[in-house]
Amino acid sequence: MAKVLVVTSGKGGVGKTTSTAALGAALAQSGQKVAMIDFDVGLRNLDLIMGAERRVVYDLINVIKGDAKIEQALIRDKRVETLHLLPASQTRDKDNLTDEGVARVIEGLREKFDWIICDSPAGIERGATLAMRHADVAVVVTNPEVSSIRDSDRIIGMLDSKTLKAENGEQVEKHLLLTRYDAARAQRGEILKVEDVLDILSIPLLAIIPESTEVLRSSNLGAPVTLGSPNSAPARAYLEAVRKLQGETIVEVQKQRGLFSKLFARRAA
Amino acid sequence: MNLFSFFKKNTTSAPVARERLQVLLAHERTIVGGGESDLVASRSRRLSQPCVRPHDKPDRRLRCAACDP
Ligand SMILES: Nc1ncnc2c1ncn2[C@@H]1O[C@H](COP(=O)(O)OP(=O)(O)OP(=O)(O)O)[C@@H](O)[C@H]1O
Ligand SMILES: [Mg+2]
Repeated sequence: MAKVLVVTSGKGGVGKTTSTAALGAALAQSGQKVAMIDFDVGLRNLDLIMGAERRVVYDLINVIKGDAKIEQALIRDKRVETLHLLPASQTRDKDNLTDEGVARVIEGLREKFDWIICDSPAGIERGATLAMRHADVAVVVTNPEVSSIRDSDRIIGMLDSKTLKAENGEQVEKHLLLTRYDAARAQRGEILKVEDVLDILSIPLLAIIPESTEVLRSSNLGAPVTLGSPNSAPARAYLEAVRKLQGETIVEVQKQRGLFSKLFARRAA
Repeated sequence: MNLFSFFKKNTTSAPVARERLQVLLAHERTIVGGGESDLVASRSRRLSQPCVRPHDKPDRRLRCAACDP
């Protein structure tokens, strides 16, 4: 039975698709069966980052509408055979992305895979809420910058209220993925420090992905950075993130909780 | 150029960002999330928590829309 993981952020362009591809590939490389679903209807990009753009025949909306079977729409990666992609529709109407349709697709995939990774679109509209709806685990992608942090805080509130888990009185397991992090700039006080972001958002840290040209290079070549440039700093950080996702319980946030997170706890502890 | 502007130029901006975010999110967790559908979360966000206003301190020129409409 698969775990459903949503990669989400609220703010656009922070690295959700990059992270979905990198985490998905890394999980699959460790032998797990992985299906990645692109929820960005109308603006799909996961196919491009994965280098599968010319292999798209059917998409998520086709499956929801019954025009295609899930097996026909899933694209199997040529490099890692346990890695699969369900692309978003590039042209179809977002209205076809229904709650019931998404539920059916996820339930169908749960039986066949170990991980279902949902690449959320930016924003808080239907695509984003449906991407998180079935999540067991959430990776909140954040840049160390005020607007990204604010939007992440909003998304965390939605994960605690609008998901099926939340409605059943359970918690979605939330992790912070701090991306495009420039340690030198943080040292100079130009961008927020890791501790500050953790104190404000008060969810456990999964990994810090450094700003790196290797990310751009890999996406130019149509490879997730964990496959295209496996020894680069961002790839190593993503691999570390996957190790944590696969088992270790994360306790950092407990230790690092500052005054702000104590005073304004999102949930009464 | 006076002494004040000299210090101002040399202050790093990240602490200001942190302080602004703390003020803003303390309120958004109780107000913005307060729409019907976010109710569950907003309820658990300690609605009764008093506002810690940095702008109560005269040396910090931070304004807070929710407290000083
Ligand atoms: N660690 C990194 N270092 C350098 N560039 C990065 C890094 N992570 C992401 N990027 C770049 O940032 C841009 C946005 O990334 P991406 O498309 O993954 O964001 P997104 O959150 O999925 O965007 P959208 O909200 O539009 O779906 C891309 O050009 C990507 O190459
Ligand atoms: Mg994207």
